[in-house]
Amino acid sequence: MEESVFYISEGDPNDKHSQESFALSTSIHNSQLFASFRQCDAPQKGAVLTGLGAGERLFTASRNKALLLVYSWGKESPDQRIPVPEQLSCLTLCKHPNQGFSSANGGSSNLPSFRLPWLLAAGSKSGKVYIWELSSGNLLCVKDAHYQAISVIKFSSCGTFLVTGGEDSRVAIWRTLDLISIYNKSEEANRLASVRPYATFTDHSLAVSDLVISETGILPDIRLYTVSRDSTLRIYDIMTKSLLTTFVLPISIESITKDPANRACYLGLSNGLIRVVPLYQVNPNTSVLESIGGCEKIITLDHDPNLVNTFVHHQQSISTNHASISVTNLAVSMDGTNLVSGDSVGRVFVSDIATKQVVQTLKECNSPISYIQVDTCPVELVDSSTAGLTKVDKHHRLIPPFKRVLASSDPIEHNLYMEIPSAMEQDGSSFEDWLLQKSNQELEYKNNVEKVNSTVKVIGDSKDADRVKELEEKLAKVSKAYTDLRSKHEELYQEHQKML
Amino acid sequence: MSLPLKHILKELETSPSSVIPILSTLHNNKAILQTISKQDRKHLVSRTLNLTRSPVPYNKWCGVNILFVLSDDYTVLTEDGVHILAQLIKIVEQQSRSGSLLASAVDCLNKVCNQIRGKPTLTREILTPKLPTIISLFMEKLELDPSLFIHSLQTFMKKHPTTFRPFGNKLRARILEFLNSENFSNYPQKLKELVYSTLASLPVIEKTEPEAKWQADVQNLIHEMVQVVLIYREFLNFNDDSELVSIIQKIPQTVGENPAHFKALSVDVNDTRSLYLISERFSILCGILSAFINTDTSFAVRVPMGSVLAMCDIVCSINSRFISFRNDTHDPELKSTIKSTLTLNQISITKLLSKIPAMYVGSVLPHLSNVLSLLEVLIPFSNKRIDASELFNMEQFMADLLECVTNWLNLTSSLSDTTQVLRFIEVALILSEPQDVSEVSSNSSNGAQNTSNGSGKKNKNNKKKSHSSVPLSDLLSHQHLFTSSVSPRTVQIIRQFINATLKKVTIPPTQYYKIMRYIFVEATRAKRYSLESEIPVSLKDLLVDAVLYPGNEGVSLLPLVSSLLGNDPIISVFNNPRFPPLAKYAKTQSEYDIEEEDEEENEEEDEEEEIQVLANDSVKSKPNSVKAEKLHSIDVSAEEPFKRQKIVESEVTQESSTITESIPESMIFKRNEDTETFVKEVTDVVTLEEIPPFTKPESVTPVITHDTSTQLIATVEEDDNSDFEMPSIDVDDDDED
Repeated sequence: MEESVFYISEGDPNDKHSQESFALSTSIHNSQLFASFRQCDAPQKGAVLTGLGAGERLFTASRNKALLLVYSWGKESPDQRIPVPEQLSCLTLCKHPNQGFSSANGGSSNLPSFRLPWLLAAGSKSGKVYIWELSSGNLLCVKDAHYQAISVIKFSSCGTFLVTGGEDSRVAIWRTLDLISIYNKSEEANRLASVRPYATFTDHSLAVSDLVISETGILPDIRLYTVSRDSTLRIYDIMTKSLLTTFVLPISIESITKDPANRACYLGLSNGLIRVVPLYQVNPNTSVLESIGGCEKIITLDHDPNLVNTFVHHQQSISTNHASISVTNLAVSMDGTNLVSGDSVGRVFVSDIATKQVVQTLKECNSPISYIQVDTCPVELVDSSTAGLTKVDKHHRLIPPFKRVLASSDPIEHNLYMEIPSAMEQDGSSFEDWLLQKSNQELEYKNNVEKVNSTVKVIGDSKDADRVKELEEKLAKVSKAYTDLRSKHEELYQEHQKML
Repeated sequence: MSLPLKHILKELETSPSSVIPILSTLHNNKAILQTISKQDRKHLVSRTLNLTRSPVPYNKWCGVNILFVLSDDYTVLTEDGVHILAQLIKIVEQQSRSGSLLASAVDCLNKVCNQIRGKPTLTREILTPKLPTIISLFMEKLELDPSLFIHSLQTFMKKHPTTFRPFGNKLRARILEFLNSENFSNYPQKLKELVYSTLASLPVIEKTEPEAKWQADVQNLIHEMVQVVLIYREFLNFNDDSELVSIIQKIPQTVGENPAHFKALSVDVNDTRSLYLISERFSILCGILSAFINTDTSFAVRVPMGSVLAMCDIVCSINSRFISFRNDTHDPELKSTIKSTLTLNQISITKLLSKIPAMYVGSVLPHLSNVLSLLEVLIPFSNKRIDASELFNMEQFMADLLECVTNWLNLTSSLSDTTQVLRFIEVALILSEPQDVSEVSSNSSNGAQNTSNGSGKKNKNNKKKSHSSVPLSDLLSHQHLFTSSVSPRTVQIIRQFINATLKKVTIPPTQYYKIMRYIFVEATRAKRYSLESEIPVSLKDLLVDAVLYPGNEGVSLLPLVSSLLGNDPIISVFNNPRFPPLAKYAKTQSEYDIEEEDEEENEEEDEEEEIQVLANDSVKSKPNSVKAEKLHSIDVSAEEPFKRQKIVESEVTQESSTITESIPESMIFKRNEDTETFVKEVTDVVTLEEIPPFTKPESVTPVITHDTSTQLIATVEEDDNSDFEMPSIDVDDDDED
């Protein structure tokens, strides 16, 4: 198993054609490089990677054009440049919803070589949300969602909700199904205009900088964590649309990530510190483990002079020409022990959460880190020696180009471009079963050996006998006829003799 | 059990007494083939081949099966692969009827090919030259064992599309022959599916643009299906439904010169059988389409999902409930025949629709509400209510329908529009109720009586009555034996459907109550009737989900479910709620010290009696826990422990280390036998220091007060009967004061 961190930077504004920009996917635990992408940069939260290994793709929003770039894993330069209606500010992907189909339908499918996630959603500078269906390229939704640019957009892991955070300090939660049901007959023509967000939160007072959604085990448990430049972290319960807790920090927050088991949040601050916000704590007075917050409580987190809950490594070793460094992106490793953080000068560190020490310093970018993604996959998928074997030709690699106008609401025009996956082979037939079958067959042979042979003989004999009988009869007939004829002839001959 | 090689070789010389031990030895004892000498291997293989040449069928069969096992070995394949293949082909050639020998030979041939496949040299040298022979041989013998040969041919087609190319048209012709044969619809389902999927994988052998061929095939298929259902235009006024007409016009026309799969149907209105041919043909076409959109393609294809769903829409819309019969169709018998063929078409469509969500997941989600509404149309109605008796008549179909709805509901994790599934919930509830057969049969017998009364022949009538009253007597005396319920499959489907709705839909109270009643009654019954008090898995899932996804009910179902499913791990997590275990980080030196002391204490305490511990002797002797000792001495002697404790705490002056010291001591009294748990408790306390409060002291206090209702005590919960629980209560009381 390999754990990889993918990171990408904003790109140097002086470097118009992104010649110097790159994005890398490297191991968290050693120095192995899995993939690199050239001329590759993206605005904050404006990139997304579908996964690791051949057949996966990287989507990035162009920094200064209304373009979306698609890279294929294993190929350094962009594969496709897809024009989009306007310049995009942030991207997110939604996987196909999986609600236990594999168990219900007796087996899952193999991974096809051409595969795409379900939806790509993007927020724009003008506050619009765009949703494309990847397997058809159809633009399913254009929706005015915010009054200012959308700074972050994310799907819940089940795909039920789409959450957008904007510069207008609002957070909007949308039901994905409401946004994309373009084929719904029962609704009026101007469908999209009538779609209201499932919930809107206006608690933040400055731009929302990042958000994270807890995984959906059961839908009522789903939590939304939003951070804003107004120095607050707010935790919402999506299903009840209620604010649970507000944490107030001394300085504005740029990024957030959370522990995989929801035990703590990690906040990247604009002064280069990373702050741990534990969500459970042992009460010093009662020695009882308690959860922190809830019931719309406001909790103020002060400066942490003893650095018990603070990572300081981004502040250290700053060269003098950088006035301030902010932590722009964060991610946590699979086991929740390593924190990956990127800052506004392009550095990426992997640090140990327990000791708060830097474990690894990754290759530095020349501009602020705009997106970090941590993924795990089996070794052979990213191993350059074996991964290269499954190269796909360009014809079968490109994705359907995105439409720039809304898809037709006529369902008949819905065509999907996809490879139908094969069902995973059920390993049901073991050698033991085969042997059992063979022993049954052997028994049949043993039991039937006499019967079969004898019947075969009988059939054969009777057939021959019939034939013999038939022939004998025929012979008898013929010979009888012959003798008859002969005797008749004799008779006639004798009569003839007499007459002479 | 493993036979020695010598014995095996000897057995193979003539007819083996039993081949099973030999097979099992050769397969399980890998060492035999690995360490075998060259000569022995030669012997083994040549004797096996000799067996296959024997005229005795049993010997042949033995030989083939031994080859099956031997082909696992790479060396055997490289040295004798050619001979083995040739011999197997010969055996298959010789067979003129199906049987275990033919099946074994074909199986073995497939296995050898499988083993060789993927190894470049072996394939080039052995397999490729023989492939055309094998394929044409299989094609020739197709009739003997269709499923076996079609399955094998399909594998060859997928793995060797280039070699298969010359045979493509021939195979297609053979398959079409099958499809057109008169009683194809009565073939076993498995064979039918194989035929369909083979037809669907045929485009893979196209040299250029297989995806274009695939697409054209699907499009033509849809066109053909629509053509078939358009026959109903002759009986029904399609113009009643303007939407239907517009959809039909939108279906794309055929592409290219692809011939239709079937020749034209000849339908005779007076011949009922010929009317049923329509639905038979339609069901075959549905099967083919389903195979096309579900069989794996090795290339990306453009799936006309919109057209497929539109076609489904057309078929569901051709429903005599909404479209009137034409004026020239007035024979009631003809009408009922047409109705039943329409139902048959709908059954085929439901099966097709059922398979779509699992393969296309999110991509078809935008169609969800449309599909649900067109499925809703299929529920039988009479007088604006669901027709229960009709429902039971079509139990199979309704089960398919519910399964289909479940599959589609599974696409989403929450459905905002509840009304879309209400009807289906009603159907599920009606089906889940046991049906009283006596009612049905008494109704029908009454009907019979009425008609016979009408005939006016009294004598005959009496006779008939007495005759029919024989089974009726049972009906009256043993009524309880005459309740029938739906089949186990339907029950299973109903439960899955209810499960899906519980999770995804906010069910209105009436239905929710009915569902819960059903679940609990069934679960109690199942538990009562099983010796092990087991509840079937499907019901267990329902019970757990009833807790996981509470409806709008104010009352919690947890106690009910807990008493039924007390041993279920998930229910246990509910009944004993807990927080996630926090990470424990590396300890500092001082923490180690504390722990060591604790352990010492623990050991001492193990030796002493409980009362002695209470007397506090051992604790008092600890020099560094003076304050704690003070705390306890006061505590024990005090009349009002609550207030005293408070005083002591203020004395302690918030020195956290002292507080932590005091806690392990209180623990000592509670847990004198369980050393391990004790140590764990201590380390828990240590983490407390690891994560000191980051809030201001004044903000910490409100946290505690507010939390009394919501926060749960996980660690000290088990110590309910201990005297020393007081301190923890004390703080709370204090705050409330």
